[in-house]
Amino acid sequence: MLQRVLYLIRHEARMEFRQQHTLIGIALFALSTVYLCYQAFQKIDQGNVWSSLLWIIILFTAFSAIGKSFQQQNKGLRLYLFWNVAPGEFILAKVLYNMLLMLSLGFLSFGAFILFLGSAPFESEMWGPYMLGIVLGSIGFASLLTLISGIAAQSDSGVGLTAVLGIPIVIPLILLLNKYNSNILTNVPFSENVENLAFLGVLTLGILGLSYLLFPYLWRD
Amino acid sequence: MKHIWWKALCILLLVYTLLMTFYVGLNPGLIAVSSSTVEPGYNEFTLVGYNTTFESNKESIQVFLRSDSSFICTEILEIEDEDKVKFGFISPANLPTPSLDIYCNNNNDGTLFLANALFVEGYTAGPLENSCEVKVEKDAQTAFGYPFQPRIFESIRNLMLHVPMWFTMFVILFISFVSSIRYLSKPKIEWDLRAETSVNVGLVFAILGLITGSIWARFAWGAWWVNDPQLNGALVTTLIYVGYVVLRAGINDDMKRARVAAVFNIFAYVILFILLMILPRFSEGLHPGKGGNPGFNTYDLNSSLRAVFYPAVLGWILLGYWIYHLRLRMNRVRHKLYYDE
Repeated sequence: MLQRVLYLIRHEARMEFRQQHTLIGIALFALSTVYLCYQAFQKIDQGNVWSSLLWIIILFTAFSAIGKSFQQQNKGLRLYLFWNVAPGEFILAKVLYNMLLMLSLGFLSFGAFILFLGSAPFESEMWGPYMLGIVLGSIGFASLLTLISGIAAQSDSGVGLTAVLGIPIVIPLILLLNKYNSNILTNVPFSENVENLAFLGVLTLGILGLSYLLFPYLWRD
Repeated sequence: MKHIWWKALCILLLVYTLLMTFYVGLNPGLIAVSSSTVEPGYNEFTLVGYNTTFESNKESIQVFLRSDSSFICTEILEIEDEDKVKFGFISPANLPTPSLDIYCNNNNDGTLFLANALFVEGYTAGPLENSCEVKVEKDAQTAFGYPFQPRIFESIRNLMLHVPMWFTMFVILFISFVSSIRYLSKPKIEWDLRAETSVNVGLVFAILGLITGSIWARFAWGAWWVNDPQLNGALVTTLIYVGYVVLRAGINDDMKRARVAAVFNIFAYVILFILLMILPRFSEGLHPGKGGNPGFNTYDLNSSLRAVFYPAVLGWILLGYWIYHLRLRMNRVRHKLYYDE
């Protein structure tokens, strides 16, 4: 099973790199949004504003990256995969691939954000926990939005549905992430903040479990 | 006749609770005092009560001030009417704290209390000389009345309208969750009809809950919308189920629509359950019972409030189920007609 999942992830990545324009498009989207924020704010000294803005950018990058992960499949490939791969393996591979994609996009946005808007709110010991937040946040977004975009892809009304279905569920997640990262930047001790992290982990595991259980019903078509 | 008893119960409960909600009075309480600053020397204030009986209990009325744990006695100057009493006192030289609570006693109303009502300017810290001996005890309220809460006042009646909406919504949405699970385990269109109908009815109750809550928030907290975990949860719930309706509208094939909607419904309900149960524990809010526990034991429910609130919850849940039941029957007929053509 693990072998097939790994193979599917590699396949997914190869498909994506063959059509480089989508990948570059999303990266460009993230970078230009950061640049727009730079033009609007120039420099941000307040920790919580800095953090919220970064999360909003990562959120919309996630929507445009994952929103179309089920859209670009052709019919023949779908049929081939349907007969050869178990649905659980397929969704697991999709989620894991999206996690890797979101991790790289998350850190790309983070880097660009520091480059343009400065790292004024940061002190040296904050970097580790903050990046941990970005890792968990990217993973959370990826797992949540993968199933949602799978659902939206079944509809006849197109890509916009991912946002309609996804944004309400993402609101609490982003509130939690924002709270965690703002806490770090406003010097709340890590021991008080760790329960946010634990909850984030529980939520992500729950989403993964649900995706694994429910995807087979979306899969048969 | 077998199926009618719960409908009769529903009507009975709702008539009872709606009558009681608006008919029962509020227990007496203190609203305000004419000025909040105490100057050196002799001071006069007018204390304003609500539903109080100052004039009818002239003999037993007593007003005193509390600073930390010592009391200052005052003299009653004039009782203007049932709700207004004028009292005066000499500002003491030393006080433990600069803010004073006002207590007002009489035989009928019991001991009433207005927290941090007066503020002594330029006070010197120290123990109070000749502290006044008073007995502070709250007489048992024998009358049937709703508790007097500062800031909420008469709007406490909204408890019987606002809270049952959310209870009903959760029960109705639970029906939809169960129906979706049953649809996935055995695809019969009946389960899909149930899921769809209950989401529609649940949404109506969610919107009613938002409206009643918004009006209450304007009165008690001063704004139509405030940042509070419960409000975030309510908004998220409503938006998710609006998304469910949009999703259904976007799929033309019947069986596919039922399947995809069921998957989204189960996913949304479980995630929502995790979020609404656990998220409020992580942040403070304005709703009662906050600060660690989203339960509602800490609502200041007195026995008369309970006697109306619990029947109200049951009544509204039954009404919600009734509406759901009617709409389900309508949708079944509509579905049958559509396929017979």
